Amino acid sequence: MSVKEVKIKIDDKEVTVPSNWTVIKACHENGVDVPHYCYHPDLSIAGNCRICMVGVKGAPRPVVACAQPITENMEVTTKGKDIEEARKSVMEFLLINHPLDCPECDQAGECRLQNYSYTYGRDHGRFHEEKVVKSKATMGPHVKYWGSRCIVCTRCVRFTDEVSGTGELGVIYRGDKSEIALFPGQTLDNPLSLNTVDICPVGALVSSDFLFQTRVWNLHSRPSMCSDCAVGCNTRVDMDAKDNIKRIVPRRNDQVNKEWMCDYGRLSFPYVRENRLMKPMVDGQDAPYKDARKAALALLKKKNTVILVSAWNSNEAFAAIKEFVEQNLPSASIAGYANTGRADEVFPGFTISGDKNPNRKGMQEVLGIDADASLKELAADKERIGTLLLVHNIPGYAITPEMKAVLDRTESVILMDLAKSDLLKYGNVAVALPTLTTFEKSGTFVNKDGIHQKFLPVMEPVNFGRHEVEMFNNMAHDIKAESAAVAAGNGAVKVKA
Amino acid sequence: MSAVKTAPARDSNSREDLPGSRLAWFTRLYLPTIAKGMMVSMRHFFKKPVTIQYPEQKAKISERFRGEHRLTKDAEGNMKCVACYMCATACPAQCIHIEAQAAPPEWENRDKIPKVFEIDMLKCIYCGYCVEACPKEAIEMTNKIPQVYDNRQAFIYGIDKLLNN
Repeated sequence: MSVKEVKIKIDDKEVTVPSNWTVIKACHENGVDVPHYCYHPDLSIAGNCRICMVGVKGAPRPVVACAQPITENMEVTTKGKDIEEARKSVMEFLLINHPLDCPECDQAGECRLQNYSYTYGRDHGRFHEEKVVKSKATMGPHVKYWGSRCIVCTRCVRFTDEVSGTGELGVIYRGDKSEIALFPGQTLDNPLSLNTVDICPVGALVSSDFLFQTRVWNLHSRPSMCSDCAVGCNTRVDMDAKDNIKRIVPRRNDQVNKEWMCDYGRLSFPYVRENRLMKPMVDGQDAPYKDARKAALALLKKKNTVILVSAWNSNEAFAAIKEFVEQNLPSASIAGYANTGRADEVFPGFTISGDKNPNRKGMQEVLGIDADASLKELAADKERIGTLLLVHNIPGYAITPEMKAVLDRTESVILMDLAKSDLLKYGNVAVALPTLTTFEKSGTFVNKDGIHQKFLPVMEPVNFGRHEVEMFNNMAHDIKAESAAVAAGNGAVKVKA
Repeated sequence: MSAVKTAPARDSNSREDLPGSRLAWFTRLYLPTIAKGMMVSMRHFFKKPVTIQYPEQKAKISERFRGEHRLTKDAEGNMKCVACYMCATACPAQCIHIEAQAAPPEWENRDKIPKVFEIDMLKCIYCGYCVEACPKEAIEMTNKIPQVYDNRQAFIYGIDKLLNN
């Protein structure tokens, strides 16, 4: 069947939509809200929650918008007495066995049942019989299940079937006793398992990492980007009043991650507050930034200087480094390296990149360096390195043999890093300059498909770190001031901070 | 055109405005007023006193008085609170601090209980919104008059203190 543009009317407003869309998609794309539980744009149609009732001219009764294909000259009404009546009845049926445990439920505050109950529901229940109580279960390492809260929309079942392809979940029993369960001998332990929590419209599937941490209305959110791998999932970072990150959830971007995200990325945030390098250090002692910069500059002027940049830095940092070296240290060379990767994890609907670097492509683009080959080349080189400026920024980095080889023949290291990492202990670190995590700074990453994505800080810096661009610009300024002072013939070299 | 004479604006606080009548010097004696005042005082000598001897004697407090808070218990003696943060959300003084934890498995019909439940009595304005907000009737106000202490920490009431208040 060929797809063509057809004209339909939604609430007396004429719109043109592709003929292979459903009514709900046509409504949502044209800014008309139609309530839904089981419908998800990235999953197959189930049509079992029945809340998305709309009126179609010519149809004897309201139809479910998620399963109704578009036809030419269709006239859809999303408001009206009979539709509201239909939704109200559906809400009443959904709430018949739903426990009134909103005070204890983690979903409260972002719950579809609450929202639609507020809009379409009755103000009191008419059901006085005993409610069906279903099982509670631990589905996997990150997911817990509260059966009684479940409305059996089967979004999670369809997710494990279609996106993760692992198929751990299914529906057992029938009628009002039906519930979600694991197939025998299985656990929901695939690395996409927390997406089931996101797509659960009620509080039936909850994250055991976020469980009872806070109430969602106490959180404030900022858009961000995941830096855990080369995919570059768009995220929303939820923080409490003290800017402690409580959870990371995906943000829709159809070009990159749709509405999915892996568990590694979601749970990658603790490094922001763990073991951070707080202040600049010179020879193992805390020092003011000015002094640390001065010491770093003195070291950089030595012979055989190499600037080693990781693929965890932003394009802006790469550009700043390139400019700094071109203008001030023409004899120094720039090399790159990357975090150790592993094999890609490929699922039918999502791929978790094995390249655990957010900006390998960006390094290629800005500096023209292939990270792995560059480090190998540097490691194979037997010449002694005078000063190694290491722009690191990789959380949880395990020192590779190549890196070891480079560090072993280096006289002194200037380290720009987030944390008090192994590098700080292993290398002859003369100067350490604290830097910022991707949650605290802005920049641009290029993902594995070459999509440039900008990210902004979501929180105040935890440490006294600075952006790489600022540090390199300051150092360039120092050098300029120094040479200006020398040119003026003052004799005494005065470096203005 | 004849000039229209308007009365000068009277300043009620001005002494000069008082009419210079016979009453003026009589009033200026102040004696009748003092006598009048003494009469009021004397009358109260023969009335039942309104004041009470406070520390020894306590005033009668209304049943509906909003005093210090109490966390209530259910039939099994477990606290009713499920750490839903409703009171903390409703509190206009933001004096309630809650941290939640999973309930012990033997507590039935309960998933969540507070690990920390603190009310800062110095911040509290005793408005009773927390009581109104509570979906479990887990917090109520006693008619205990707010206590005083000699250090700030003592004003922060924890779970134990609130359960036995």
